[in-house]
Amino acid sequence: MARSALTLCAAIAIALGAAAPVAAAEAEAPAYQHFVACGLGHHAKPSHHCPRRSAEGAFFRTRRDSVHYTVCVRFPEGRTLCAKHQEADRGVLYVNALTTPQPGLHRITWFVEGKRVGRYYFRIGTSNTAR
Amino acid sequence: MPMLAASLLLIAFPTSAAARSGGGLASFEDPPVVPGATSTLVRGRALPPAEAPPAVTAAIRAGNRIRARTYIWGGGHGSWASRGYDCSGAVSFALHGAGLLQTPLDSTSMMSWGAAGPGDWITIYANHRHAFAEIAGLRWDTSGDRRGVSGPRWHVDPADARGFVVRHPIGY
Repeated sequence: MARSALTLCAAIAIALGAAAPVAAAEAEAPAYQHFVACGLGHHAKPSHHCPRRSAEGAFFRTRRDSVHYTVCVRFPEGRTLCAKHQEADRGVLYVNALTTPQPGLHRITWFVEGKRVGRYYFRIGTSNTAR
Repeated sequence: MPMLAASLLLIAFPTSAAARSGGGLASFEDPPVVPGATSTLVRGRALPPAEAPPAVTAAIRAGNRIRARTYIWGGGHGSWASRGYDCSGAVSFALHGAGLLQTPLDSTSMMSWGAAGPGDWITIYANHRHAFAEIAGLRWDTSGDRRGVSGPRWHVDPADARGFVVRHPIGY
């Protein structure tokens, strides 16, 4: 009897030990995914450098609640454009297509309820690395 | 030349509205779409795919505007604005939203509309009794809902083309 109780305690301890990192990982998962890619397809990969005349897209996904977000782009010459009140359902990957013929460094910023949740730099048309 | 380039952008992205630069050359499409070439259905609303031509995106957004209306036989044929829509009225509404149709068609008329066979983006299925469409991978249909629900709705299950003439808008 004592031996089986000990075995049970050991099993519980092992199970708790194994579950803890999983729970921690879930808790640490960022609430939002955001990146820029040089394409608009399902398999577009995050990139910090796009060739001229590519179709750039600013991607956004919320992993927790459905939210309204704003996404802004600052062009190389300093002007900023924003797409406001964008609706995002939890788990769905959205993309705002960007049309810019301007070479140089672009900055994309995402906001949720006025709070900045992400920023991404990418460069168009030159080989310099983005900062 | 800059004016010409700006004009070309306006043609290429007619749905970009909120975030266009004043007199500049750059734009930011608004509202967002989903990546790829297939629509995504979220809470009854179809999200257009990023790779779709503007007319297809417009057809999807048009469908979304009436997606919760009820089924009314003849609805959408007397006027584009209607409390409810029948099958061909709903298909006509989406095509009209895309700029592909000026006057509503009944299902029999759809059997000879456009070009034969499935389209790359939009396919119309029609016979003498019913019509529905498949737009960027989603079925736009007034039938196929659960019991007691009827009206224009998006569906993820694929179209069953048996018994239907298959047509598509030329170019799509």
